[in-house]
Amino acid sequence: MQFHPAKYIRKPFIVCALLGFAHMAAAEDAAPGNYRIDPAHSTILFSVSHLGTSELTGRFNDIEGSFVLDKDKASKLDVTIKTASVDTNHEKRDAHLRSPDFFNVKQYPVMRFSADKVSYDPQGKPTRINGKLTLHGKTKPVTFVVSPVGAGKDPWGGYRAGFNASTTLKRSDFGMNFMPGGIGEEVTVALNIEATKE
Amino acid sequence: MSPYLLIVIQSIALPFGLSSLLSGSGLHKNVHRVIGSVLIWLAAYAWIIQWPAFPPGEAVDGLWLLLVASVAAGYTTHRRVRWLFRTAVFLTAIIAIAWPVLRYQPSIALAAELVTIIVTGSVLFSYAERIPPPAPALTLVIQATGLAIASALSSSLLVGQLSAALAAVTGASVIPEIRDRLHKTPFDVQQRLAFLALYLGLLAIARLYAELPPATTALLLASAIFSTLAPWRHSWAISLLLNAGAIGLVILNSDNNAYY
Repeated sequence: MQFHPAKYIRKPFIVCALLGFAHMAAAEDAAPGNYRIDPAHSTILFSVSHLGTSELTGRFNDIEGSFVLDKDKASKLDVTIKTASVDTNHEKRDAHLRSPDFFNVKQYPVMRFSADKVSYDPQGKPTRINGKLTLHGKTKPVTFVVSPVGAGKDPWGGYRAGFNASTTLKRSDFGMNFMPGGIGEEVTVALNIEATKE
Repeated sequence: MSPYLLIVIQSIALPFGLSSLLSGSGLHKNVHRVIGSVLIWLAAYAWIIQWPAFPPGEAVDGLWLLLVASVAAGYTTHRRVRWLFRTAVFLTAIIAIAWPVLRYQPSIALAAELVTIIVTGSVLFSYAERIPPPAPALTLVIQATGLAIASALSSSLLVGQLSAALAAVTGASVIPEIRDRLHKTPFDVQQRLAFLALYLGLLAIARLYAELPPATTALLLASAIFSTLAPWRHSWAISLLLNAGAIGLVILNSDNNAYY
């Protein structure tokens, strides 16, 4: 069988993107400054036990936000997520999650994480974000453990930085009590964020 | 315990069992039976939603207030005052239920739906008290079961469970109704009116928050109107057909991954 590259790489922008990423220096630490979250390259994932037999993973597709990264000055983070964008790869289940049984998206269309305390390690890398999560009409303190991924110039002349962050929540803390036997109480949340420096 | 067994106990076995015990308890005063059945529904409700938030945060948190205020309205002295009190409670409840949606997504269509529900409620409250419909418990069971199934199939098992609990509480009064060939009922008119207000509140929540399809909502509302206004003893059969149609529409609108 003969290999035809054109069959696999049809769209020019994919080629440009691949070449661009090859030029990106991804190992350096993120520079201080103001960043805007790039929704196209960021993901909010959650996972929760289903019937005690498996972990169901879902995501939110509509996110926006910004953060200020500066070890010496005040750092802060603000992320807004549209709850109706919940996506577990199953239309019927997503409709159920949007209903009053869980997120009640008509009444609570957004959830928001707002943090004004960021901890850094001695090398200046962010390690923890302490903030408040407003979900389902309730606001509770939440701490995310942060792990920087990389930073550097992108092929379009901008500067990008990426972080992964995770935490575990109790859904009953946010008044999401329905079906306690079938759906786990603890929900693991992971933010995989890529942001562009402003 | 299996979560599915828990759902059956919370929304069917517990309210039906307690309601049957209440029916057989020998309580003769209507007011005792009304308060007993309301307390049974409230117990099932509190268990299903894991205790309502106070002050109410979501529409379902305020359902107990609607029910209790509707029962209180039924024990004021004059019929006109009762109607005014009950309609005012219902109007307040529907606006409170709809307020979050009105605030974020106001529309003429939404306003028209709310006005329809409020006007329907106020007309039914007046009519049902003056001319008690035949087989009120049986028709309410059919209505509440229809809403329970349609809501659970549509997207909200929670509203489905609350409606199923209403059907189960009322279900204990159906047996004596059938035994008396639908000529007599042990179902007090104030009990019916309070549960009718609750039913319409649940229907409004299912429509506004659980995206119950408009045609299904219209059929369920038509069933409530018909079963109250129709004077025939066997009007329950038409109510049954309307509810079956409402459920059929939900099933027809579902895709093939309806269960998960």
